[in-house]
Amino acid sequence: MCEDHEHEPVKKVEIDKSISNVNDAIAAQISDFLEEKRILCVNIMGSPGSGKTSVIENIAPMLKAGDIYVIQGDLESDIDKKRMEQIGIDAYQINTHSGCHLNAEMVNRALMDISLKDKKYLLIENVGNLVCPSGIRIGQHINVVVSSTAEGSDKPKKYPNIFYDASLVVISKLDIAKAVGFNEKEYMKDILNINSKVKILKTSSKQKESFSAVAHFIAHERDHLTGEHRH
Amino acid sequence: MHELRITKVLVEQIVNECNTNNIIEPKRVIVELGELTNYKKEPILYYYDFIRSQTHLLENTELVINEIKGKIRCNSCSKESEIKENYLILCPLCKSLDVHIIQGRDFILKEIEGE
Repeated sequence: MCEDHEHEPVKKVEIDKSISNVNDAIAAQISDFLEEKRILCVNIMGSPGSGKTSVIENIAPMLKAGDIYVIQGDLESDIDKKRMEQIGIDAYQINTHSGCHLNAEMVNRALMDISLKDKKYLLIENVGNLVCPSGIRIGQHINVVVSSTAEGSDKPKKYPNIFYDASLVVISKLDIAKAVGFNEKEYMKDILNINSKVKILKTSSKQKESFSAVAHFIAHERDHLTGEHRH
Repeated sequence: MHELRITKVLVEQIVNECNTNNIIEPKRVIVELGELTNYKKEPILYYYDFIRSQTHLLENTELVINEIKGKIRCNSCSKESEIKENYLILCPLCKSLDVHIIQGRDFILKEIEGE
């Protein structure tokens, strides 16, 4: 009797799972953990040199430096961590080396090393990059994009993805808008075509008070998260 | 370089799913890639070819990437439309900006075929 070799039939297995499942699960844990501690987590994104660190430096005294913890993401160096410490903000530096954005695992590891006792805000400055950090969850409750006039008013059209989930866009370096030919009207229109619900605020380091609306926005977002409403 | 990390994550996930579902010879893997993600098909295929040459289980496994169009649903007229330009997230029918994205932002491991 001849025995045929029995071949397993080809089977199709439906998986239907997001590739970023693991990252997103860690990110959800981080945001839940921080919400429980009544800490708002802000993911600050933007090109290198757009003014992300300057925004933090300027809003810190308005929010109260002692209430803030900052995680800095850069390929190399601890320059930004030192800038934070110089103005009395507790800070932690993540160096991604070749990594073009932070991920939830990096933030999770950082959180194991730091104390958030008495903090109200965890500001995470992502790696300077207008492409890669977008859509990557790192445990944030809100996304803030810092975009400088010097980068040009065509950036929303060229790099729309970063604006999809932004709660706030901070236009920085407004004092040089004229010199660099920044077309504010076109820029505003293009941003709203991508994300009609986003708040847009204009700032300039030459006018410190221009940052008060940014600080107010972030404080309000924390009130919203924790259920505290100030009138 | 941007797609290298996500392709490594994809390969890890394929291997895990093969183990979970007792697939010892995966022939074909189907994934869906949204057009509104920051990932592009060609570099993923490029990195996949490189990584699978070092991953015994996937040596003979074809990766099929189906690209998924971005889609919005309009909150004003309730209609669904395809996104033509990634920087114009508005309703092409009634021109309302009050829309939300319902498709095209995910990268999904859809199906594995094998023995």
